[in-house]
Amino acid sequence: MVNRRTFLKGTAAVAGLAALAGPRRSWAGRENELNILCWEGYNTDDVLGPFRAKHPGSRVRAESGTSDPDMINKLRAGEVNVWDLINVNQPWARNQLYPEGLIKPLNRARFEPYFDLMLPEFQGPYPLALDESGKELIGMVQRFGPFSFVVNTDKISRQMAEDQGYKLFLDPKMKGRYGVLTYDNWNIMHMCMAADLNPFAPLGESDFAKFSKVAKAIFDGAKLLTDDLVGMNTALINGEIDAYFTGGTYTASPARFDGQTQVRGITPKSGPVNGKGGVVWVEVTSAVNNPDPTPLAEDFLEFVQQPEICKVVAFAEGTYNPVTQMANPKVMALFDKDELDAIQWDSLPEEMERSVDYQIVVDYNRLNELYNAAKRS
Amino acid sequence: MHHPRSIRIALLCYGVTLIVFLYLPLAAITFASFSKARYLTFPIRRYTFQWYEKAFASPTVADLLTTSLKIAIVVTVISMVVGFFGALAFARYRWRFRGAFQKFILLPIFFPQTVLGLALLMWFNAVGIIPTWKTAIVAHLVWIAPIATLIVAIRAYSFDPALEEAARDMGASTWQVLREVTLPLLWPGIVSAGLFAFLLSWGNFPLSLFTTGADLTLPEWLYAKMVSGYSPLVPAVGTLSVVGSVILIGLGTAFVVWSNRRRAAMSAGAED
Amino acid sequence: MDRIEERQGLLSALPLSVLMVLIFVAPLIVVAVFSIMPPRVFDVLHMPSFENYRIFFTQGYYRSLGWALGMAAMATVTLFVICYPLAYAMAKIFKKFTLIITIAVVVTLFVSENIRLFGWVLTLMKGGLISGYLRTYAGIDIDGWLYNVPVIVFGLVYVYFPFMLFPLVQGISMVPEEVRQAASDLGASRTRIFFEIDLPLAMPGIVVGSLLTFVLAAGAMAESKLLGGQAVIVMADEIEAAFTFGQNWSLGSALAMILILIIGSLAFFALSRVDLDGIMGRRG
Repeated sequence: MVNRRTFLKGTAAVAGLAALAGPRRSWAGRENELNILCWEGYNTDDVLGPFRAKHPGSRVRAESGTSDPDMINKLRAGEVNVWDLINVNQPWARNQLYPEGLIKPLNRARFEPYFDLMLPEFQGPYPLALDESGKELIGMVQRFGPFSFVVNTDKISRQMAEDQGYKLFLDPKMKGRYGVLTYDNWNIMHMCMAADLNPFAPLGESDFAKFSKVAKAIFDGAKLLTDDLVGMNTALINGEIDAYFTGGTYTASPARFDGQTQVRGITPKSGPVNGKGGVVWVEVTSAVNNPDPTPLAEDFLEFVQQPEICKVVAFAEGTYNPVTQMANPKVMALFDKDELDAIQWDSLPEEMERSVDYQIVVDYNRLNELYNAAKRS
Repeated sequence: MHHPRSIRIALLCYGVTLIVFLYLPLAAITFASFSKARYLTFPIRRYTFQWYEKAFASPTVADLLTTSLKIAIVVTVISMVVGFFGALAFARYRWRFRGAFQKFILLPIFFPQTVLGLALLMWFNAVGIIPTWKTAIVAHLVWIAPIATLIVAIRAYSFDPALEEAARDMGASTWQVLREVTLPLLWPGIVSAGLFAFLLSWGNFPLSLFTTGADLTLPEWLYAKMVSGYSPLVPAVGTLSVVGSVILIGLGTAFVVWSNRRRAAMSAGAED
Repeated sequence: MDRIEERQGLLSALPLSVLMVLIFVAPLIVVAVFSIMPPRVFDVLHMPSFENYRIFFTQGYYRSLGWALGMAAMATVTLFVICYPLAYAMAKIFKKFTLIITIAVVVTLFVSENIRLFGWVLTLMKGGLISGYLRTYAGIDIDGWLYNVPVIVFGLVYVYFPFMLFPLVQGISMVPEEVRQAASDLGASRTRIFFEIDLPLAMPGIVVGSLLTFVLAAGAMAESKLLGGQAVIVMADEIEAAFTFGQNWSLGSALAMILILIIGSLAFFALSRVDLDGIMGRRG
């Protein structure tokens, strides 16, 4: 029975719980605090160290997420009052975070000039760094990379892989010789393309049936599924598998930089999206709509545009990726031959040419259901 | 009961085999931590110490250790206290709502931890608490305190209530009985529960993921590194945890042995 | 006497109960309410719908549940068989060696679970610690052992080993030596002593060990992901996929509720069959 006394006790206990968190942060106290939620890279000592040195007395913390939706879930469940910057791939920022008010626009006048120093694709500014209306700048872009699939070129020639595209994985000879890197959202796009469907356009019932069939075939022929790129690369290098479905410079570069240059990200020569079959991700770093904002957020975004820092971000501890600022000769000068080879700089322009932007998959919900059902069976 | 020598030896060998087996993956990890290359093929060809140098030089690693330790120590202390009383209610006393209590405290263990973490974050947010490492303590406790209770309950089930009754008959107060009889009898179970609590908190990833706010624990960092930014720094930190724990436990054991000897010597001295 | 026990029971239940009411009931309610929200909403202010539960039954999720429970059961039984002799020896035979084993096991637990599993990947993979050295020094070429169902169960056995071992040691150490001695003096065989004295009197330890192992293994995901290459998909995986890539919190919540319900009923059913109070002579 709940009477007044037990109720009061309960209230007191809740108050006690609140006291656990200590006094509420004062509204003026965050000039010297910055919390960054990002993909691995911005959180390393190499990036944060110089920034901390520039802002002595400040408390700068960064945490690396393990997937876009993981990071977004944190904001959705209430951590908007914790983070100041969030770094996710382009459609998540533009189509989920911004419309839901979880991130806020940047000072366009302050940041627009930086786009002019970027690779041509990103100048003007890059359309997916703007909101739907094209008026507000919702984030800055830095790392990017084509993302389709990865092969061991000692076993499967680059030429053949590029010609066959995703159909490679439907070849009966490949059964048991490849893995699926289960970044679900990417798998879904690539499986659509393997089924000759354009994932960014609305699909019909017969298309869903085609998708299901291809998804089942790909899961069925896979030797392993994992979302762990270390495990996947290790299996590839040790010959357990000869290719993996869903991957690109982001996953291949650490192996290549290790000297395993037979590991190579492949962008198909052609595909169902206006003739293109590759997809490219571009990270967008945005200011979180924190009720208690800090000026350090925009300072940090500006800080990472410096050539030396661009290089450090591109070659952070974990994975290596091209950055948009590589149009700047000062940035380019910081890369040596092995580093450029690790990120497949030689073929990057043609791979970008054959790729489309990672966008919202129109029928994602339905495809996701079919995808999970195929994975389960 | 007497056990033949052959059985003792066989069991000894069995124990050693299991331990060797437990250490096999750690051996692989140690190899990996000395490898120059990120992606391994055994036998390893090029060795290096650079990952250890990085681990020692990194302010991040030091920060992670402190946060994880702080959380684990508080969780351990609270779990031991709560687990001691909880186990008495669970197994020792017969009282009206015992059945319900037993079922209720098992529920958190059935909960998938990531979901629990996310739900807790939403609850903290609703109450207006900004998550930090302190909220992670609370989150860990939801899951660990019931487990600690269960561990203590194993002993609480088996002990003889007559001992407590005898003490009470001799005029001891409830509090005295608890302190002088019950607590010492359950102590091995409580220590065991404390150990479990410490290790479960130290190694927890899914609950910390959503409840530490901008603070970061070692398992969170290691997990993210494994998934998206692997370098042999990861196995190096793993190997260092083994070395660190061996030193800590060695010192702890030495201290216990030393203080027992001293106490024995002192009481022997008092008797003279 | 009974009134005292009644009061003491209530009082000693208080700390844990208060903790649970404060920080567990609310999340439980959050998840329960989310589970009856329409798919893909991120707050609880919608008309209730049981769509998510329908999805569970129509889209083959029972298969993932079956795998999770089946592999957990296999791991639990295997662990009991492996741990019992060692636990017995630790509780009754070994002296200093018990401490050594305890410390040895505890030290491994200082390394995060996923790193230890990664260690097994390095050990068992093709070109790994075992196969790589065999190939180089013995000329034997073998494939890896990864990416199948048995290796997932193996991983569960490895990870949950301490959860079975330590409760068993606690349980067995509480079996009074005099009782066994008396039975032995009366001419009872070793087998009879085992089944009629050892097992029943160590039951609290056995029950707690098995319960923890089964429940935790049924909700585990890392073993199937890292070692098993997701040869089968387990329930915890489906829940995570729904929360993350599915961005479908209500479906994830419903799946979690179903998992809790099923594991809970299994555990409570098993507990009700083992009358601990009766065994331990604690009735009436």
